[in-house]
Amino acid sequence: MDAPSTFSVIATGQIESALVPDCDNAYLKFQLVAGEDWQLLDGLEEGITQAARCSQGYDQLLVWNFPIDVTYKATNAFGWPQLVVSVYGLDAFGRDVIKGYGCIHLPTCSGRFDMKLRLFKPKSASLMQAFNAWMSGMPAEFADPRFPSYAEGREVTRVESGGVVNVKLNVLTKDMEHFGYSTGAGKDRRANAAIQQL
Amino acid sequence: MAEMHVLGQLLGGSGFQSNNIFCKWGISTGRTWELLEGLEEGQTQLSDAADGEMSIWAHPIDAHYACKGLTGWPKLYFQVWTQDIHGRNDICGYGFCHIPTAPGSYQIDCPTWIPEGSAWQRFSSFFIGGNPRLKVEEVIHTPGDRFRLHTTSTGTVHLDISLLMKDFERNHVHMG
Repeated sequence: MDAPSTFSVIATGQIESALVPDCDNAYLKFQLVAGEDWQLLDGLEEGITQAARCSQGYDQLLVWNFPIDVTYKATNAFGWPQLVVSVYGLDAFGRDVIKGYGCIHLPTCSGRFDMKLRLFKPKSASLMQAFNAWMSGMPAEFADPRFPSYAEGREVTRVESGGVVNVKLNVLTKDMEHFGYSTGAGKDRRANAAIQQL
Repeated sequence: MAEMHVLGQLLGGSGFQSNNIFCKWGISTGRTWELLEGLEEGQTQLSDAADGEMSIWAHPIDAHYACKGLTGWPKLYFQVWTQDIHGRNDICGYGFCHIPTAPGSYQIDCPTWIPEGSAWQRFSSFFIGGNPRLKVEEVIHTPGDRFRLHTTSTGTVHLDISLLMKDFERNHVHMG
């Protein structure tokens, strides 16, 4: 059999839910951003969930259960795919108001992962702008929805943090060993690696 | 020749003197390592958070290194800065951690410190701000003479790092 010229990464799972402060009705837009050596073989690279309302009870979780099923083919692990999300809330007037952006790399080894994307949103530049944003329902947004996945240009942004999106993903990889990659699959590093603070 | 991919993100910082913080980070390696793709330094967004919450940077890191020798294993070093309401930047933490030596995903919490000034400097910085800074930034991550440096502990930098290593096992390196 010929040696494989590409390796594949398959991610299946869901954007499960979110906890966003002061937000009880929201939808989420997501995009998968990968480098030039990556090609999407199957699945959708972007999508929008339904608009969900919080449960009445104590939990205050916004539940979407939106499926993610993607297969990537690549020749280089640089540019490993990132999942970028934007959560939009619906205010009392029915307008879409940005509540937060988040970003995370897809897991680099096979297994089942419970991931938490912490959200942040751009801050208004002045009190006046913040007031106008509140009145018009149009707070500051990033012009490029993929911006949270970029490392450059971040130093000029000012944001405030708040909210978390829960994503569960199952990952399979194929032919990475043939390329010589060791991914550390099968070894639970997370439990051992956190340095305990006294 | 072996290669290593360092992926992940600088998740955020907590426990610093202020919640309005950003981080200047860099990766320092020995002479036998060469950066093939990606950035090995940067600066995160300035992020604010409520009291007790982590200030989220979510700054993606994707660096592709070629390794000709195991010495000088990459280290990630940080300088955490705060910006006050007047727009002045002040140092509020120095720290570093090594990139792990085995492939996999890690959640790393990195404690930080700042130089401690004299009693008079601490008194005046309480009123007008301004923490002492290091003149030579290599002190953060190099094992030099720190004997005369007095420091105070500050907050923690949280990282999510994933490592992929290529051809290390073919070169008889056991990673565990």
